[in-house]
Amino acid sequence: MTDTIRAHIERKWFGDTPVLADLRLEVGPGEVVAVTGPSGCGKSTLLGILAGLDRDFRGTASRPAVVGMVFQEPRLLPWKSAAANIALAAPGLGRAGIEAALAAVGLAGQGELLPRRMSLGMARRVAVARALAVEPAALLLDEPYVSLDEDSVRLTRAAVAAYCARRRPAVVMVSHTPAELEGFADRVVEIRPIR
Amino acid sequence: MASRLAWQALSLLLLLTVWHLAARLVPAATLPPPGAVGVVLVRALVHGDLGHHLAITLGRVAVAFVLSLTVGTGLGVALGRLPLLDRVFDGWVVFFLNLPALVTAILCFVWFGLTEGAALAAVALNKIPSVVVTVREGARTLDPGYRDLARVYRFGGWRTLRHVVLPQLAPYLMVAARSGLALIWKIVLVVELLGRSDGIGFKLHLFFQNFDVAGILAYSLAFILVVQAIELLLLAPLDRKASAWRD
Repeated sequence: MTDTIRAHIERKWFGDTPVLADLRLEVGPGEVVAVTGPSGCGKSTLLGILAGLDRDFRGTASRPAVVGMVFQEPRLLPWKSAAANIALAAPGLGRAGIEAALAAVGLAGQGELLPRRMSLGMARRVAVARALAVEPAALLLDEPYVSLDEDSVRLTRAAVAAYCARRRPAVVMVSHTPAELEGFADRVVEIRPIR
Repeated sequence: MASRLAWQALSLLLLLTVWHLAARLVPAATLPPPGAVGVVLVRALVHGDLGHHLAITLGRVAVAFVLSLTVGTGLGVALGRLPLLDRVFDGWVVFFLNLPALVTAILCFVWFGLTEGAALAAVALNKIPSVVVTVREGARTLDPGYRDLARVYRFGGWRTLRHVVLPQLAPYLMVAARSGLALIWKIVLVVELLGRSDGIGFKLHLFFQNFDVAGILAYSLAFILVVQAIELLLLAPLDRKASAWRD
Protein backbone atom coordinates (compact mmCIF):
# COMPACT_ATOMS: atom_id res chain seq x y z
CA MET A 1 0.00 0.00 0.00
CA THR A 2 1.27 3.45 -0.94
CA ASP A 3 2.31 6.06 1.60
CA THR A 4 1.95 8.82 -0.98
CA ILE A 5 -1.07 10.82 -2.07
CA ARG A 6 -1.29 10.83 -5.87
CA ALA A 7 -3.92 12.38 -8.09
CA HIS A 8 -4.28 13.20 -11.74
CA ILE A 9 -7.61 14.89 -12.25
CA GLU A 10 -8.27 15.35 -15.95
CA ARG A 11 -11.73 16.80 -15.44
CA LYS A 12 -14.22 17.19 -12.63
CA TRP A 13 -17.69 18.56 -13.30
CA PHE A 14 -20.65 19.58 -11.20
CA GLY A 15 -23.44 19.02 -13.69
CA ASP A 16 -22.35 20.89 -16.82
CA THR A 17 -19.92 23.12 -14.94
CA PRO A 18 -16.24 22.09 -14.97
CA VAL A 19 -14.65 22.57 -11.54
CA LEU A 20 -11.18 21.08 -11.78
CA ALA A 21 -9.13 20.42 -14.90
CA ASP A 22 -5.76 18.86 -15.61
CA LEU A 23 -4.54 18.89 -12.03
CA ARG A 24 -1.64 16.71 -10.96
CA LEU A 25 -0.66 16.33 -7.34
CA GLU A 26 1.81 14.09 -5.57
CA VAL A 27 2.46 14.40 -1.87
CA GLY A 28 5.00 12.11 -0.27
CA PRO A 29 5.56 11.13 3.37
CA GLY A 30 6.58 14.09 5.52
CA GLU A 31 5.54 16.56 2.86
CA VAL A 32 3.00 19.31 3.47
CA VAL A 33 1.19 20.79 0.49
CA ALA A 34 -1.11 23.76 0.88
CA VAL A 35 -3.96 24.28 -1.57
CA THR A 36 -5.18 27.83 -1.97
CA GLY A 37 -7.52 29.66 -4.28
CA PRO A 38 -10.66 31.77 -4.23
CA SER A 39 -13.94 30.51 -2.79
CA GLY A 40 -15.73 28.02 -5.02
CA CYS A 41 -12.66 27.13 -7.08
CA GLY A 42 -12.83 23.45 -6.06
CA LYS A 43 -10.46 23.18 -3.10
CA SER A 44 -12.84 21.11 -0.95
CA THR A 45 -13.82 19.11 -4.02
CA LEU A 46 -10.15 18.26 -4.49
CA LEU A 47 -9.88 17.10 -0.87
CA GLY A 48 -13.00 14.93 -1.36
CA ILE A 49 -11.33 13.30 -4.36
CA LEU A 50 -8.05 12.80 -2.49
CA ALA A 51 -9.96 11.22 0.43
CA GLY A 52 -11.70 8.81 -1.94
CA LEU A 53 -15.14 10.23 -1.13
CA ASP A 54 -15.74 11.60 -4.61
CA ARG A 55 -15.14 9.15 -7.42
CA ASP A 56 -17.22 10.98 -9.99
CA PHE A 57 -14.36 12.50 -12.00
CA ARG A 58 -12.14 11.67 -14.95
CA GLY A 59 -8.66 10.71 -13.85
CA THR A 60 -7.02 8.74 -11.08
CA ALA A 61 -6.40 9.22 -7.38
CA SER A 62 -4.73 7.03 -4.77
CA ARG A 63 -3.92 7.47 -1.13
CA PRO A 64 -2.54 5.57 1.88
CA ALA A 65 -4.91 3.16 3.62
CA VAL A 66 -5.27 5.21 6.79
CA VAL A 67 -6.49 8.74 6.20
CA GLY A 68 -7.24 11.40 8.80
CA MET A 69 -9.50 14.18 7.60
CA VAL A 70 -10.63 17.41 9.19
CA PHE A 71 -13.72 18.57 7.32
CA GLN A 72 -14.63 22.20 6.81
CA GLU A 73 -17.10 21.93 9.70
CA PRO A 74 -16.16 19.74 12.72
CA ARG A 75 -18.64 17.03 11.73
CA LEU A 76 -18.78 15.37 15.13
CA LEU A 77 -21.64 12.94 15.68
CA PRO A 78 -23.91 15.04 17.93
CA TRP A 79 -25.23 12.01 19.86
CA LYS A 80 -21.72 10.99 20.92
CA SER A 81 -19.39 12.61 23.42
CA ALA A 82 -16.00 13.99 22.39
CA ALA A 83 -14.31 10.81 23.62
CA ALA A 84 -16.85 8.54 21.89
CA ASN A 85 -16.41 10.43 18.60
CA ILE A 86 -12.68 9.74 18.76
CA ALA A 87 -13.16 6.13 19.93
CA LEU A 88 -15.43 5.40 16.98
CA ALA A 89 -12.75 6.49 14.51
CA ALA A 90 -9.90 4.88 16.46
CA PRO A 91 -11.43 1.85 18.25
CA GLY A 92 -8.10 0.42 19.35
CA LEU A 93 -6.98 3.55 21.14
CA GLY A 94 -8.31 2.82 24.62
CA ARG A 95 -9.32 5.29 27.31
CA ALA A 96 -5.79 6.57 28.01
CA GLY A 97 -5.09 7.07 24.31
CA ILE A 98 -8.28 9.06 23.85
CA GLU A 99 -7.49 11.22 26.87
CA ALA A 100 -3.99 11.83 25.44
CA ALA A 101 -5.48 12.76 22.04
CA LEU A 102 -7.77 15.28 23.71
CA ALA A 103 -4.98 16.62 25.92
CA ALA A 104 -2.87 17.22 22.79
CA VAL A 105 -5.44 19.75 21.59
CA GLY A 106 -5.93 21.32 25.02
CA LEU A 107 -9.08 19.44 25.95
CA ALA A 108 -7.85 17.26 28.79
CA GLY A 109 -10.73 16.04 30.96
CA GLN A 110 -13.39 17.20 28.47
CA GLY A 111 -14.06 13.77 26.95
CA GLU A 112 -17.62 13.47 28.22
CA LEU A 113 -18.77 16.72 26.60
CA LEU A 114 -21.42 16.41 23.90
CA PRO A 115 -20.82 18.45 20.72
CA ARG A 116 -23.79 20.73 21.40
CA ARG A 117 -22.14 21.81 24.66
CA MET A 118 -18.91 22.74 22.84
CA SER A 119 -17.90 26.01 21.24
CA LEU A 120 -16.93 25.87 17.57
CA GLY A 121 -13.29 26.08 18.60
CA MET A 122 -13.59 23.10 20.94
CA ALA A 123 -15.49 21.05 18.37
CA ARG A 124 -12.81 21.74 15.74
CA ARG A 125 -10.11 20.72 18.18
CA VAL A 126 -11.93 17.44 18.84
CA ALA A 127 -12.17 16.94 15.05
CA VAL A 128 -8.40 17.45 14.78
CA ALA A 129 -7.80 15.10 17.73
CA ARG A 130 -9.95 12.48 15.96
CA ALA A 131 -8.01 12.88 12.70
CA LEU A 132 -4.67 12.46 14.48
CA ALA A 133 -5.90 9.62 16.73
CA VAL A 134 -6.20 7.21 13.79
CA GLU A 135 -2.44 7.65 13.21
CA PRO A 136 -2.98 8.55 9.56
CA ALA A 137 -0.38 8.20 6.82
CA ALA A 138 -2.30 10.89 4.93
CA LEU A 139 -3.75 13.95 6.62
CA LEU A 140 -6.31 16.08 4.79
CA LEU A 141 -7.19 19.38 6.42
CA ASP A 142 -9.98 21.57 5.04
CA GLU A 143 -9.47 25.06 6.46
CA PRO A 144 -8.92 23.70 9.96
CA TYR A 145 -8.24 27.10 11.53
CA VAL A 146 -11.04 29.16 10.02
CA SER A 147 -13.21 31.11 12.53
CA LEU A 148 -11.16 29.91 15.48
CA ASP A 149 -9.96 32.05 18.36
CA GLU A 150 -6.22 32.57 18.79
CA ASP A 151 -5.85 29.93 21.51
CA SER A 152 -7.62 27.28 19.48
CA VAL A 153 -5.46 28.05 16.42
CA ARG A 154 -2.29 27.82 18.48
CA LEU A 155 -3.27 24.53 20.15
CA THR A 156 -4.51 22.94 16.93
CA ARG A 157 -1.42 23.96 14.95
CA ALA A 158 0.85 22.67 17.69
CA ALA A 159 -0.95 19.31 17.78
CA VAL A 160 -0.80 18.91 13.98
CA ALA A 161 2.86 20.00 13.85
CA ALA A 162 3.81 17.58 16.64
CA TYR A 163 2.08 14.70 14.88
CA CYS A 164 3.73 15.59 11.53
CA ALA A 165 7.16 15.70 13.17
CA ARG A 166 6.58 12.31 14.81
CA ARG A 167 4.85 10.31 12.05
CA ARG A 168 5.70 12.24 8.87
CA PRO A 169 2.34 11.81 7.08
CA ALA A 170 1.58 13.19 3.62
CA VAL A 171 -0.43 16.34 4.35
CA VAL A 172 -2.73 18.36 2.13
CA MET A 173 -4.19 21.46 3.71
CA VAL A 174 -6.73 23.79 2.16
CA SER A 175 -6.43 27.38 3.28
CA HIS A 176 -7.50 30.86 2.28
CA THR A 177 -4.96 32.55 4.49
CA PRO A 178 -1.26 32.69 3.44
CA ALA A 179 -0.26 33.49 7.03
CA GLU A 180 -1.53 30.07 8.12
CA LEU A 181 0.86 28.36 5.73
CA GLU A 182 4.07 30.14 6.69
CA GLY A 183 6.56 27.77 8.21
CA PHE A 184 4.21 24.82 7.73
CA ALA A 185 3.70 24.15 4.03
CA ASP A 186 6.54 22.87 1.85
CA ARG A 187 4.66 23.71 -1.34
CA VAL A 188 1.66 25.77 -2.26
CA VAL A 189 -0.70 24.73 -5.05
CA GLU A 190 -2.97 27.49 -6.24
CA ILE A 191 -6.22 26.51 -7.89
CA ARG A 192 -7.71 29.02 -10.30
CA PRO A 193 -11.37 28.96 -11.29
CA ILE A 194 -11.98 27.47 -14.73
CA ARG A 195 -13.40 30.02 -17.12
CA MET B 1 -44.60 15.82 36.26
CA ALA B 2 -46.69 15.50 39.44
CA SER B 3 -49.17 18.01 38.05
CA ARG B 4 -49.42 16.04 34.81
CA LEU B 5 -50.09 12.84 36.72
CA ALA B 6 -52.74 14.62 38.79
CA TRP B 7 -54.50 15.81 35.64
CA GLN B 8 -54.37 12.33 34.15
CA ALA B 9 -55.85 10.85 37.33
CA LEU B 10 -58.58 13.50 37.32
CA SER B 11 -59.34 12.81 33.66
CA LEU B 12 -59.59 9.07 34.34
CA LEU B 13 -61.89 9.72 37.30
CA LEU B 14 -64.11 11.88 35.09
CA LEU B 15 -64.32 9.07 32.50
CA LEU B 16 -65.29 6.54 35.17
CA THR B 17 -67.94 8.95 36.52
CA VAL B 18 -69.46 9.52 33.07
CA TRP B 19 -69.41 5.75 32.49
CA HIS B 20 -71.05 5.13 35.87
CA LEU B 21 -73.79 7.73 35.22
CA ALA B 22 -74.40 6.41 31.70
CA ALA B 23 -74.69 2.86 33.08
CA ARG B 24 -77.54 4.00 35.37
CA LEU B 25 -79.56 5.12 32.35
CA VAL B 26 -79.54 1.77 30.53
CA PRO B 27 -80.00 -1.90 31.53
CA ALA B 28 -76.95 -3.44 33.24
CA ALA B 29 -76.70 -6.09 30.51
CA THR B 30 -76.23 -3.31 27.90
CA LEU B 31 -73.70 -1.25 29.83
CA PRO B 32 -72.57 -2.58 33.20
CA PRO B 33 -71.10 0.01 35.60
CA PRO B 34 -67.29 0.24 36.12
CA GLY B 35 -67.50 -1.56 39.47
CA ALA B 36 -69.23 -4.60 37.99
CA VAL B 37 -66.73 -4.75 35.13
CA GLY B 38 -63.92 -4.49 37.68
CA VAL B 39 -65.31 -7.50 39.56
CA VAL B 40 -65.51 -9.54 36.33
CA LEU B 41 -61.95 -8.51 35.49
CA VAL B 42 -60.50 -9.54 38.85
CA ARG B 43 -62.47 -12.80 38.84
CA ALA B 44 -61.28 -13.63 35.30
CA LEU B 45 -57.73 -12.86 36.28
CA VAL B 46 -57.71 -14.85 39.50
CA HIS B 47 -60.00 -17.78 38.71
CA GLY B 48 -60.54 -17.54 34.95
CA ASP B 49 -58.49 -17.73 31.77
CA LEU B 50 -57.76 -14.01 31.29
CA GLY B 51 -54.03 -14.44 32.03
CA HIS B 52 -53.72 -17.29 29.53
CA HIS B 53 -55.46 -15.45 26.68
CA LEU B 54 -53.68 -12.20 27.54
CA ALA B 55 -50.30 -13.94 27.27
CA ILE B 56 -51.27 -15.53 23.93
CA THR B 57 -52.34 -12.18 22.46
CA LEU B 58 -49.29 -10.37 23.86
CA GLY B 59 -47.05 -12.99 22.27
CA ARG B 60 -48.71 -12.40 18.89
CA VAL B 61 -48.41 -8.64 19.32
CA ALA B 62 -44.70 -9.01 20.16
CA VAL B 63 -43.91 -11.23 17.16
CA ALA B 64 -45.92 -9.08 14.73
CA PHE B 65 -44.35 -5.92 16.19
CA VAL B 66 -40.78 -7.15 15.75
CA LEU B 67 -41.55 -8.53 12.28
CA SER B 68 -43.21 -5.30 11.11
CA LEU B 69 -40.51 -3.04 12.52
CA THR B 70 -37.65 -5.14 11.12
CA VAL B 71 -39.06 -5.64 7.61
CA GLY B 72 -40.57 -2.12 7.46
CA THR B 73 -37.30 -0.50 8.55
CA GLY B 74 -35.28 -2.44 5.97
CA LEU B 75 -37.69 -1.56 3.17
CA GLY B 76 -38.06 2.05 4.36
CA VAL B 77 -34.30 2.62 4.37
CA ALA B 78 -33.98 1.01 0.92
CA LEU B 79 -36.77 3.16 -0.58
CA GLY B 80 -35.48 6.29 1.15
CA ARG B 81 -31.94 5.83 -0.13
CA LEU B 82 -32.61 4.47 -3.63
CA PRO B 83 -34.82 6.85 -5.65
CA LEU B 84 -35.30 4.36 -8.51
CA LEU B 85 -36.58 1.69 -6.11
CA ASP B 86 -38.85 4.29 -4.51
CA ARG B 87 -40.31 5.30 -7.86
CA VAL B 88 -41.02 1.66 -8.75
CA PHE B 89 -42.55 0.62 -5.42
CA ASP B 90 -44.19 3.81 -4.15
CA GLY B 91 -47.51 2.73 -5.72
CA TRP B 92 -47.29 -0.63 -3.92
CA VAL B 93 -46.75 1.12 -0.58
CA VAL B 94 -49.81 3.33 -1.14
CA PHE B 95 -51.87 0.27 -2.17
CA PHE B 96 -50.97 -1.76 0.93
CA LEU B 97 -51.34 1.32 3.13
CA ASN B 98 -54.96 1.59 2.05
CA LEU B 99 -55.76 -2.12 2.29
CA PRO B 100 -58.17 -2.63 5.24
CA ALA B 101 -56.90 -4.91 8.01
CA LEU B 102 -60.03 -7.03 7.71
CA VAL B 103 -59.38 -7.75 4.02
CA THR B 104 -55.76 -8.74 4.66
CA ALA B 105 -56.80 -11.02 7.52
CA ILE B 106 -59.52 -12.74 5.47
CA LEU B 107 -57.22 -13.21 2.47
CA CYS B 108 -54.36 -14.58 4.59
CA PHE B 109 -56.69 -17.13 6.25
CA VAL B 110 -58.18 -18.12 2.87
CA TRP B 111 -54.78 -18.47 1.21
CA PHE B 112 -52.73 -19.97 4.05
CA GLY B 113 -55.39 -21.60 6.24
CA LEU B 114 -56.41 -20.82 9.81
CA THR B 115 -52.83 -21.03 11.07
CA GLU B 116 -50.65 -19.03 13.43
CA GLY B 117 -48.38 -18.04 10.53
CA ALA B 118 -51.30 -16.69 8.53
CA ALA B 119 -52.49 -14.66 11.54
CA LEU B 120 -49.06 -13.12 12.12
CA ALA B 121 -48.56 -12.46 8.40
CA ALA B 122 -51.91 -10.65 8.24
CA VAL B 123 -50.96 -8.37 11.15
CA ALA B 124 -47.46 -7.68 9.84
CA LEU B 125 -48.70 -6.99 6.29
CA ASN B 126 -51.04 -4.36 7.71
CA LYS B 127 -48.40 -2.58 9.73
CA ILE B 128 -45.34 -2.84 7.45
CA PRO B 129 -46.50 -0.15 4.95
CA SER B 130 -46.88 2.52 7.62
CA VAL B 131 -43.43 1.65 9.05
CA VAL B 132 -42.02 1.89 5.52
CA VAL B 133 -43.53 5.35 5.00
CA THR B 134 -42.24 6.68 8.34
CA VAL B 135 -38.73 5.22 8.05
CA ARG B 136 -38.48 6.23 4.37
CA GLU B 137 -38.90 9.85 5.47
CA GLY B 138 -36.11 9.39 7.99
CA ALA B 139 -33.82 7.71 5.45
CA ARG B 140 -34.29 10.65 3.07
CA THR B 141 -32.97 13.02 5.73
CA LEU B 142 -29.79 11.02 6.49
CA ASP B 143 -26.88 13.45 6.47
CA PRO B 144 -24.44 12.64 3.61
CA GLY B 145 -21.71 14.39 5.62
CA TYR B 146 -21.86 11.67 8.27
CA ARG B 147 -21.77 9.02 5.54
CA ASP B 148 -18.52 10.60 4.28
CA LEU B 149 -17.17 10.67 7.81
CA ALA B 150 -17.91 6.93 8.18
CA ARG B 151 -16.15 6.21 4.90
CA VAL B 152 -13.02 8.25 5.64
CA TYR B 153 -12.62 6.65 9.06
CA ARG B 154 -13.56 3.21 7.75
CA PHE B 155 -16.30 2.51 10.28
CA GLY B 156 -17.50 -0.45 8.20
CA GLY B 157 -21.08 -1.54 7.60
CA TRP B 158 -22.15 -2.63 11.07
CA ARG B 159 -20.62 0.32 13.00
CA THR B 160 -21.97 2.78 10.43
CA LEU B 161 -25.45 1.30 10.84
CA ARG B 162 -25.26 1.25 14.63
CA HIS B 163 -23.50 4.53 15.36
CA VAL B 164 -24.33 6.72 12.36
CA VAL B 165 -27.53 5.58 10.64
CA LEU B 166 -29.72 4.32 13.50
CA PRO B 167 -29.23 7.39 15.74
CA GLN B 168 -30.37 9.58 12.84
CA LEU B 169 -33.36 7.28 12.26
CA ALA B 170 -34.19 6.99 15.98
CA PRO B 171 -36.98 9.62 16.06
CA TYR B 172 -38.65 8.01 13.05
CA LEU B 173 -38.22 4.51 14.48
CA MET B 174 -39.78 5.64 17.76
CA VAL B 175 -42.79 7.10 15.91
CA ALA B 176 -43.11 3.83 13.97
CA ALA B 177 -42.78 1.77 17.17
CA ARG B 178 -45.27 3.76 19.25
CA SER B 179 -47.90 4.04 16.52
CA GLY B 180 -47.11 0.42 15.64
CA LEU B 181 -47.94 -0.87 19.09
CA ALA B 182 -51.18 1.14 19.14
CA LEU B 183 -52.24 -0.29 15.76
CA ILE B 184 -50.90 -3.84 15.96
CA TRP B 185 -52.77 -4.93 19.06
CA LYS B 186 -56.06 -3.82 17.52
CA ILE B 187 -55.36 -5.77 14.32
CA VAL B 188 -54.32 -8.82 16.37
CA LEU B 189 -57.75 -8.79 18.05
CA VAL B 190 -59.49 -8.73 14.64
CA VAL B 191 -57.31 -11.58 13.38
CA GLU B 192 -57.96 -13.63 16.54
CA LEU B 193 -61.67 -12.99 16.27
CA LEU B 194 -61.69 -14.22 12.68
CA GLY B 195 -59.43 -17.24 12.74
CA ARG B 196 -57.87 -18.25 16.06
CA SER B 197 -59.14 -20.38 18.93
CA ASP B 198 -57.34 -18.47 21.68
CA GLY B 199 -56.34 -14.93 22.59
CA ILE B 200 -58.32 -11.90 23.69
CA GLY B 201 -59.92 -11.48 20.24
CA PHE B 202 -61.22 -15.06 20.36
CA LYS B 203 -62.65 -14.46 23.85
CA LEU B 204 -64.32 -11.23 22.68
CA HIS B 205 -65.98 -13.25 19.93
CA LEU B 206 -67.38 -15.70 22.51
CA PHE B 207 -68.60 -12.84 24.73
CA PHE B 208 -70.26 -11.23 21.70
CA GLN B 209 -72.11 -14.47 20.89
CA ASN B 210 -73.41 -14.56 24.50
CA PHE B 211 -74.10 -10.78 24.59
CA ASP B 212 -71.80 -10.63 27.62
CA VAL B 213 -70.92 -6.90 27.63
CA ALA B 214 -69.21 -7.08 31.04
CA GLY B 215 -66.88 -9.77 29.71
CA ILE B 216 -66.14 -7.75 26.57
CA LEU B 217 -65.31 -4.66 28.62
CA ALA B 218 -63.29 -6.54 31.25
CA TYR B 219 -61.07 -8.38 28.73
CA SER B 220 -60.66 -5.25 26.59
CA LEU B 221 -59.82 -3.15 29.63
CA ALA B 222 -57.22 -5.65 30.82
CA PHE B 223 -55.51 -5.56 27.45
CA ILE B 224 -55.65 -1.76 27.17
CA LEU B 225 -53.99 -1.52 30.61
CA VAL B 226 -51.19 -3.90 29.59
CA VAL B 227 -50.55 -2.05 26.32
CA GLN B 228 -50.52 1.27 28.19
CA ALA B 229 -48.03 -0.19 30.66
CA ILE B 230 -45.77 -1.28 27.77
CA GLU B 231 -46.01 2.22 26.30
CA LEU B 232 -45.26 3.95 29.61
CA LEU B 233 -42.65 1.58 31.01
CA LEU B 234 -40.83 0.52 27.83
CA LEU B 235 -41.39 2.71 24.77
CA ALA B 236 -41.57 6.14 26.45
CA PRO B 237 -38.31 5.63 28.44
CA LEU B 238 -36.65 4.23 25.29
CA ASP B 239 -37.74 7.35 23.39
CA ARG B 240 -36.36 9.58 26.14
CA LYS B 241 -33.06 7.70 26.14
CA ALA B 242 -32.71 7.88 22.34
CA SER B 243 -33.27 11.64 22.31
CA ALA B 244 -31.37 12.49 25.54
CA TRP B 245 -28.44 13.98 23.59
CA ARG B 246 -30.71 16.76 22.30
CA ASP B 247 -31.43 18.10 25.83
